[in-house]
Amino acid sequence: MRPAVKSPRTARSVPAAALAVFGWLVPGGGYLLIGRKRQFALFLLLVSTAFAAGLALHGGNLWPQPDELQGLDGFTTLLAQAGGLVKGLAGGPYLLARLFDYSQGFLQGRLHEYGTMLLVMAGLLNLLALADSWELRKAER
Amino acid sequence: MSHVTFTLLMALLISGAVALPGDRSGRERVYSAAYTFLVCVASIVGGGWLMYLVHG
Repeated sequence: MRPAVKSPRTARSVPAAALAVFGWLVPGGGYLLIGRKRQFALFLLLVSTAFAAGLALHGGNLWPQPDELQGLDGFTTLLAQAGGLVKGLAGGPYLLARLFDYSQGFLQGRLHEYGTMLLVMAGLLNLLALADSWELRKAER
Repeated sequence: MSHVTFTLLMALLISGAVALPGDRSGRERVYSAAYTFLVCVASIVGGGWLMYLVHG
C-alpha cells in the first residue's frame, strides 16, 4: 500500500474560476494562489499605488455619460468607453473606491487626466498579472 | 508636473510592470525593463516629432 502523501498546494489544485475571481478582486492575487508570493507582493504594490495616486488626482472612475461624449467621433467614444471598462479591472481597489462613494466623472484639467490615466493603468496592470498567473498555472500543470 | 515628466513616469511604471511576469532571472528582468523603457522613450520622442510635423 502506498503511503498517503500530502501534496503541497500547487498550481494544479487551483480552479480556473477561483484564480480569475481572486486575481481580479485582489491585485496580483492570481500569483498568490499559485504560490508566487514575491510577484504577488510587487503587483499588489504597483496596482494599489497606481490606483491610489489616480484617486488622489481625482481621476474619473465612472462610465462616460452621453453629454461627456457629445461631439466626439465614434472611435474616440469607443476609446472613452473602453477606458471606463478597464478601470473596473483593478478589482478590489475599484470596488472599495465605489463603496466609499468615490465617484468622479470626466473633468477638464491636466491633473484629472493624469489621475484617469493612472486608474486605467492600474486596471491594465491587474489584467497583466491575471493573464500571467493564468499562463503560469497552465504551464505548471 | 509637465506632460513629458508624467509620460516618462508612466514609461517607468510600465517598464517595471512588464518585466515582472513570467519565469525569468533577475538579470533578464532588468534587461527587459531597460529595453522597454528605451523603446517607450524612443516612441515618445518619435511620436512627439510626428505630431509636431503634422500639426506644426
